[in-house]
Amino acid sequence: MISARGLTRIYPRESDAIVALDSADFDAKSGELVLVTGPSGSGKSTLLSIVGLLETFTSGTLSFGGTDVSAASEAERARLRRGRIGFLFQDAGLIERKPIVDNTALPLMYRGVPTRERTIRATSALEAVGLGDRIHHTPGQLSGGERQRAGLARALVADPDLLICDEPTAALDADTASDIARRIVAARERGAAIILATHDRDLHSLADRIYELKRGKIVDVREKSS
Amino acid sequence: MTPRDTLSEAAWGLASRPGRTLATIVALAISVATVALVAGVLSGFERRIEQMSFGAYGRAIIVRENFFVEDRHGPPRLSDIERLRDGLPRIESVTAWRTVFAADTIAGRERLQIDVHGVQGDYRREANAPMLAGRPLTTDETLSAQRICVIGDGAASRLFPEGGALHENVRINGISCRIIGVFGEPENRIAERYSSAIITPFATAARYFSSDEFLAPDEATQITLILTEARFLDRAQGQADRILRRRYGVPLSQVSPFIYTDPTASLRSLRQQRTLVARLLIVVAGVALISGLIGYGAAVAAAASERRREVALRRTLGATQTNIIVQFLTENAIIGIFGGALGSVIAIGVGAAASSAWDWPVDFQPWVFSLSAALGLMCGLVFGAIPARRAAASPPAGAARA
Repeated sequence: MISARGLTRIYPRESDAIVALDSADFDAKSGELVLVTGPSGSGKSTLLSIVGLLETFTSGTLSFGGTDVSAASEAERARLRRGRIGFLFQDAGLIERKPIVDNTALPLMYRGVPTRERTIRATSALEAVGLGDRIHHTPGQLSGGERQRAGLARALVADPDLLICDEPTAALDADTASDIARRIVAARERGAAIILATHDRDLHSLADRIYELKRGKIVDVREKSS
Repeated sequence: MTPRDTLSEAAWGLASRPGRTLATIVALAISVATVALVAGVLSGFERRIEQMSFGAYGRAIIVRENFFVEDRHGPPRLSDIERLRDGLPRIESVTAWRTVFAADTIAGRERLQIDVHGVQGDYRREANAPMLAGRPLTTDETLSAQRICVIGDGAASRLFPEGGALHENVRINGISCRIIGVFGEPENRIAERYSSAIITPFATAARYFSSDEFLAPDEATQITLILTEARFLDRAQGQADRILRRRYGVPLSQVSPFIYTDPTASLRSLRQQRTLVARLLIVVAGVALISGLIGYGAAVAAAASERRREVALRRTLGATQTNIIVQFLTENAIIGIFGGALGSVIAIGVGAAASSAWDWPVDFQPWVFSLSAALGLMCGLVFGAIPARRAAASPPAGAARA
């Protein structure tokens, strides 16, 4: 699904430059759960942004679904994002003041799915995460765990090939975090590749591969022992 | 993303921030209203001042005898009318006037010295006044010598203090004349003198009332030429002079036997004042417009800046930069349309109130509202374009980092 070689991202500054990601090799296959760990500022979010086609990189190559997207235009990357990638962020990334059913339907809207169909699919996705009775609530009316579940529903509503989750449980209590983590892992059964940035060591046993980053470099790669 | 989706998202974008949306619309509306109101007021005042000051005199030439010429050829004669009418292009009307100054006028027990104006032609273009009773003289009647007249309400109230002048007789210089109509205040300032006078057919004044031994029966005190447009005045004056010189055999080397008067000349300063007031109003409107637009632009830019997170999220979910720009422009177009419409409503309301309270002659032309709508839409698009482009260009990765 995703194959990156020598990914480097340098943010230039006036006096010097910040190397946010340094020659990273990274792979995530369909149906795999890939964890990205490391301390804050280690480059986890940068790596996820690049493989999620949210951000360009300074050097290296990136292949998405077997196609080299290293030099893809912004329009092409937007097309791939709306068609094949789901995102879940630490704060769920919901648009405030917008009912969660409309939030959840947004990826479908940008894919051109008709209104009625996307409402049905968004409602169904919210029911699947236990929010069927709150579809008209806005994010501000939900708890942290509920917001994260709504964010997960939106990430999965378009049946993405790749699900990218950037520390989705970091701001949740232990029970809620466990619930969200369980739901994310369950999405693997849909056949999607899941890339999850997390500090949660309980998930390590479920991962197919674990990348550990430190100061922008991948310092360790652990494969699941089969 | 379909146009319907774009419209729906734009409507949500506006409805989700009602306070800011309303403030932005009002800021734009005030600018549009100021421009529309100033345009309406200027148009109304222009019309009324023109009407009050000049009326048809604004495009008239008055031909009189030049008393300073020793070889007497004047005054102008009735037979000059046809020559002038035939020789001058763009003539709307030619009217001959013969004034009997301070005629001895008696009605019942009242006796006054009143000016009597004999007229031949369409006199109402000059002495345009509403009829309070009866009817005006017809053009055919002005060509006759019937002893009939119309009287200004100023003269009527003095001759008939108890009212009821219509169909009564007055004796002018000893000759009886029947009143067929009473007219009110003339609508322009120059013609105000007719409200305290009597108007009769030209031949009636010449034959029955005139005691002027210097004027032959066909000689006029003045001939008034009214042109179709004021811009032809200078050229028409030269042409009229050439026609009359030819008629009376006066070469260009000699002083003209006639003088040609622009009756509005004394009111030029009024026109200049009006121009100054118009310029002042335009400056006020311009300042209000610029102030309003600065406020509007700042509000739009601030709104776009506040929504960078939302934009980044939308782009994460697959929105293209074009999707974002079109959505923002649609929002601003909606604001522009509502601002233009609200501005028009405010302008109409304020205009109506000012018209009612202060008798302002506000005159809204249809183009003012088209301009207001276009102005609102244009401001929405122009001031929305830059923040929209800036917001759309912000990287979607911002959504992950927020």
